[in-house]
Amino acid sequence: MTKRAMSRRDFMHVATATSVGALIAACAPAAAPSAGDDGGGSAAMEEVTIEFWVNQPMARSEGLWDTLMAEYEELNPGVTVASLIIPHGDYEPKVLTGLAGGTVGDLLDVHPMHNATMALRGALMPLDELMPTLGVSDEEMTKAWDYNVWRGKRWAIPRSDNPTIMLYNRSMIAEAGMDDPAELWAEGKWDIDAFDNTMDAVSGGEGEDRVYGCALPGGGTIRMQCVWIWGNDATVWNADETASAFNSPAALEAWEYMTGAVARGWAPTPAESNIPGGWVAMMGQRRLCMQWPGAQFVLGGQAQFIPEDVMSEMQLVPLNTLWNGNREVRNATNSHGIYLQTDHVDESWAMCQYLISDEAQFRIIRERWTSPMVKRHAESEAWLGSLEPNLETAEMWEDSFNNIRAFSHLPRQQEMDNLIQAAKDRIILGDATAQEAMDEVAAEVDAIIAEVDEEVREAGL
Amino acid sequence: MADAFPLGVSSPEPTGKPRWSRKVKADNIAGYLFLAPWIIGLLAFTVGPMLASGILSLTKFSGFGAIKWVGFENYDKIFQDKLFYTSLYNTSYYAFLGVPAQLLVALCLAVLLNMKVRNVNLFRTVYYIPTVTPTVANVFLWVWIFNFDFGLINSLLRLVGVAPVNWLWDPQIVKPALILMSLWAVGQQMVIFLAALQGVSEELLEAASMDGANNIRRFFSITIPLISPVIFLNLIIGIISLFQTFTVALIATDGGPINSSLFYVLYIYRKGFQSFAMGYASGLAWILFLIILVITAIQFYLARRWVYYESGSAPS
Repeated sequence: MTKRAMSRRDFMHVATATSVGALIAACAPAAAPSAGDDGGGSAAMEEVTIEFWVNQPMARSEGLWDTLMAEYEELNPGVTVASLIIPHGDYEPKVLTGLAGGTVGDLLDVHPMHNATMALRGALMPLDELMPTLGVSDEEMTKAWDYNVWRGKRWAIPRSDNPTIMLYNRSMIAEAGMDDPAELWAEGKWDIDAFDNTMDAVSGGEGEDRVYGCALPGGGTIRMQCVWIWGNDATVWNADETASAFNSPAALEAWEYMTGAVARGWAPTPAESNIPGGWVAMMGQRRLCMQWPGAQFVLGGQAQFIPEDVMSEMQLVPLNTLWNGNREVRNATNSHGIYLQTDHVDESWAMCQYLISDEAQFRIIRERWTSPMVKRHAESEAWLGSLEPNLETAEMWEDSFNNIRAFSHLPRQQEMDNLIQAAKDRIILGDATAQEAMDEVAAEVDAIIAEVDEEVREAGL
Repeated sequence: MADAFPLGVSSPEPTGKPRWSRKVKADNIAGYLFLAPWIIGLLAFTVGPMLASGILSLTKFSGFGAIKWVGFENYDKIFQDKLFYTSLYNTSYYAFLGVPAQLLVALCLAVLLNMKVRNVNLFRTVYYIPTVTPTVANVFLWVWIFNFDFGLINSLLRLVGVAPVNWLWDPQIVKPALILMSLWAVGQQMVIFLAALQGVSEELLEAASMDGANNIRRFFSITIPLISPVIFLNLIIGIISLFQTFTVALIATDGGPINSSLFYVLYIYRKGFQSFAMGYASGLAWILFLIILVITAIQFYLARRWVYYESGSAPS
């Protein structure tokens, strides 16, 4: 009897069944050990991998990050760090989506904007009990550390900070016939009137020749606009952060000033500054004279997008004093916290200790990714030697450090900010007065704050 | 005897009910096995999530912690939400004006590209390129073109003595500007129209020509009716697509100024992934689904009046 060959039909049946089986197998949960699981060997030979989710702007200098992680691994044999770099705009949704799906890194970057939201959602572990072993006493901490405290607990350790300091083009100001702001500051004359007059003088032109003074008043977000509100003895939130306060009479004056800057022509509208590269590109094209993003943001990375000849015209100066004679500035402290459910608390805390250590901080300082966050670092050779003589002085930075005021970023900050910016746009476009626009949005924001409060109470925070 | 019956059907039982033969059963099983991957995918990645979102829309859930059943409370809140109506208005404006504009431009381009001219294939490629360019790149390009100070359009306007326009900052103009932006990438509709135009019978056109019809008359009386099914197809696809516009709104204007370009799907995104109100966002999504469903059904109903099918009847 001859052996019957497989018919074409039978072959197709088998092939189809195999394909379906493979598809089902592919959809099944992976059985492989996940990152972070121990190899199963003896305690002494245990290999551990910790995953660090990094907010991209803080890791733009890729060589620096790799060096830091390599040093940490040398100091902690058996521990491997797997870094996941996430673009800034995607960071919070990515973390919170990962949290909802149960897949989060052991260490998470924490921007001030995200601090409260991540803490409320259970992404972060309170670090207060671990703080005595950090190696930095309370007295040594600069005000930058305040940004990681919410509801009386510390949720993250700062890694690099960005106190507000103004970056401006001194050639453009000289061409406009105005006094140099750094000299005015040194003489104690760098105030709101001097700032206004300078902005009016440098701005003008039309079309491709249009020049703006400073981009921030027309654009920005509440976490930057707060500076002008503080400068008029007003606040954004009430004392216990249960309601908005940005529609008080004093705050409304600040809003009128900010929106009036667009009407006066020295601040671009958000649409006018919405170009690839944003204000950095505008400064590089000499179409924008002054900006105050937190200079580390520029010096640590974005300065590469400003042509060298234009960069050589740049100068730093602290924020001008405002109407109340003060200059309280905001700080963008980039920090990292530990995932609440991590299995690697010790290794993660060791990372926190390492990144605030002198060795790591001096390396980050030299790369211009941070200002000193530990007071003694302000006297270090690493910091003083990194300053560029034609651009900045240690005294200017000290002025900014001493004037840091923590802006409280509430949970659902982004949602509230969307409403506030729409209200600000109404004022700029003449659709409403400052009072009308801010009163209306304050009620909407207060409704969100009330919901947040309820969530916070339910979370026991 | 079995040959007297249709293939695969054995002789009927005394009750008259056909009995499937082993061969037919085997064929059916094979067919379902071939379909299985697609069916599993449909159930797992479309139907399942749709049902889940429907249930989520009846809950209060942030993506973390417990899911709280709230019934139709989300829908109540949605119908009292000012931004729901704002985003729906913006999206409807964009879709109902944008789609006819896109169809018109695509049809005109297709007519031009249907002409017998030299290097027509090169032109067809050039006009299709924006369609295959990533949307983000297109949007950045147009944001630059629309820039008030140095944008191409305002530079040309200044050149001829016309006042520049604040394309992306004026609430009255931002949506028309975004519609203008959308006309850049009509390649897909253009290609479909081109295929339809090439299917129009030359004999009919010649006969009309011999009867004295000029080009315009031939175009509107013969060509348009014959390609009306394709117009209808592009209309349906266009409406569904533009109602789901997201990338343009996010990158070009982020919903501003004053929410005048806050499109519906951008609002869903904000509610779902910035506010983490998953139940609320799911409710918004289901409302959008129903709106699109109703609009599509209305279009199918109205199509009986103006869509001409050569077979004599519309597909059922």
